[in-house]
Amino acid sequence: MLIYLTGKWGLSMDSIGVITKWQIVLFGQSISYNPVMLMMTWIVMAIIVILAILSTRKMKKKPGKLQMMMELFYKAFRDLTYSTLGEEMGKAYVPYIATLFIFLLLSNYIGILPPVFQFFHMILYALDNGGLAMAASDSAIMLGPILVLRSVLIVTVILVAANLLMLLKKKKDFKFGITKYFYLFIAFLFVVSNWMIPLPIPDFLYAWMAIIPVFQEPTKFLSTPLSLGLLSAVVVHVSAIKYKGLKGYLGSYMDPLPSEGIWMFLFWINPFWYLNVIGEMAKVVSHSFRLFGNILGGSIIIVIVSNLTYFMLPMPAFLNAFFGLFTGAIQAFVFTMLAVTYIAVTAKD
Amino acid sequence: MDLALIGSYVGAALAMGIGAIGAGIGEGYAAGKAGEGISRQPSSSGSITRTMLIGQAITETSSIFALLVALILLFRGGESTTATMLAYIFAGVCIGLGALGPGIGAGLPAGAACQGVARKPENENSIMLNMIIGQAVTQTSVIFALVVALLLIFQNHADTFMHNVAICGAGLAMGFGAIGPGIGAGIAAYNATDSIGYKVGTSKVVTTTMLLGQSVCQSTAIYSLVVAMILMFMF
Repeated sequence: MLIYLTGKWGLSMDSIGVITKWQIVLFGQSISYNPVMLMMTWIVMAIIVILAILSTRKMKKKPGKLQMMMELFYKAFRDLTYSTLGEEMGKAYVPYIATLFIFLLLSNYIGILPPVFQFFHMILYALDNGGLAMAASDSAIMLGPILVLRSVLIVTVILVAANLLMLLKKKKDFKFGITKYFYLFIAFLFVVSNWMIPLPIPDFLYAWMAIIPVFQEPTKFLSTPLSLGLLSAVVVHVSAIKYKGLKGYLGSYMDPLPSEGIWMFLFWINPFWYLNVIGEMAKVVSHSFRLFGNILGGSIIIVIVSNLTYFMLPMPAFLNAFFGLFTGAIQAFVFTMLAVTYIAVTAKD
Repeated sequence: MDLALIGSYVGAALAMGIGAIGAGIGEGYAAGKAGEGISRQPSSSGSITRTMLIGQAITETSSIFALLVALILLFRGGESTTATMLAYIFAGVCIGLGALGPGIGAGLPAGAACQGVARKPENENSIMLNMIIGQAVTQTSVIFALVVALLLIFQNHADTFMHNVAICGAGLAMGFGAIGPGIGAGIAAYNATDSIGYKVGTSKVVTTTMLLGQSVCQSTAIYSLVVAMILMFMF
């Protein structure tokens, strides 16, 4: 029970710095990957795709709320890109820049969502083991959520009964509005909690849900920021070659020594060549580690503080607002703007 | 006697103790300039406060890195060897000293931005954009220090005399190497943000020049990074 009620949505102090590692064997080579990061990235991508489809499905001249929001967002980033790169050149980069920002923003925000997976896990476990009561006796970790669920059930039953009584007294028709789904959900929970026949639940479902107790920011694992930083570096260098030509691009590494004629072939005696090459690599490092350090630092601080304070709801609201919403938005913006500026500095003369 | 425990406690204390200095000074500078600006232009106090808060939040990054390393050190544990102890202590020294310069440096453009917004509230967007970019690049050197500190913590250390001395050298090289470039890049960002506050039309050229200047100014931090890497991996 304590495990559920303390920590940031049930993340305990032991989870700090722990990275789940799964392995697959491909062509005789074992490749390890991080399932939490992959799952969270897929969730973020799904949210973006759904948002994009919903907001562009029925486009009108007089936009609705969602279309309006997305148009404002797009326009803001188009203007930012144009003001740095110029309209002629910026046109090609707007989709990349806007996607980068919205992906990073949602990635940094996803950590504050409540742990729905824990709930699904519990229901699966109950269906597999014959009712919630049985599940509770099996596992101490499940006891907390089950007690919470039980109390919610009891309160809801009382509320429903009271509502029905009121309806009977006033002799009104029983309206089956939005509350219909809520009542159906409660009925479903009743069925689940008294289920006696074990269902054959596949093991991989358990594995996934046990591995992902809570939503975690994909940006807090180094692989996401580093791959986005590398991607931005590829964009920067390809556009530098495109706009300066190969000769101009290679010549820019000779700075401040001349790059004409024989000098191009003598780059190994030019000390600035080495400095420029290391500088370009250091750009990728600083670009990606800035995001990584900020998000990881924020999430660790939230976990530690909520473990220290035994907050009643497992979520210190102020810390989540500062490190989740504020710092998350600022770091996503900084990452995006640095990508634009690197393109501008490297590709333009 | 658990040497790893000694290392992690001393390291965490040094990391957070030294690492809090820079960002404290920088944020105070931004707050002072914001107060000055509000007294000059009370009607735009909202946008000045917003600029100050965003600038301070980014300035705080260097201290948050120090806090991150301190917390990792506190909860990590490890083998009780001299190498582990030295690695933990000097990871703390590295990120603590590394956060000093960029903390002060990133506070300067935040102050200049508050001043600029007070002078011309209508230019808030371009001033803040330049401030954010300038501050972010100013923090490059503390990120190098973070990388070296994390490598020191998570690397498997051979417990030889040579390697132990090299670890100390790596932490010190990167820690001291980050101070100067942090403050220097902050001065570049300060002047760029200040001049954009006067003449907003030049913002494109000024930002590009600022970035070039900052990256040249950070080459000394890159030297430190290279030296630290050589010390860590070659000895």
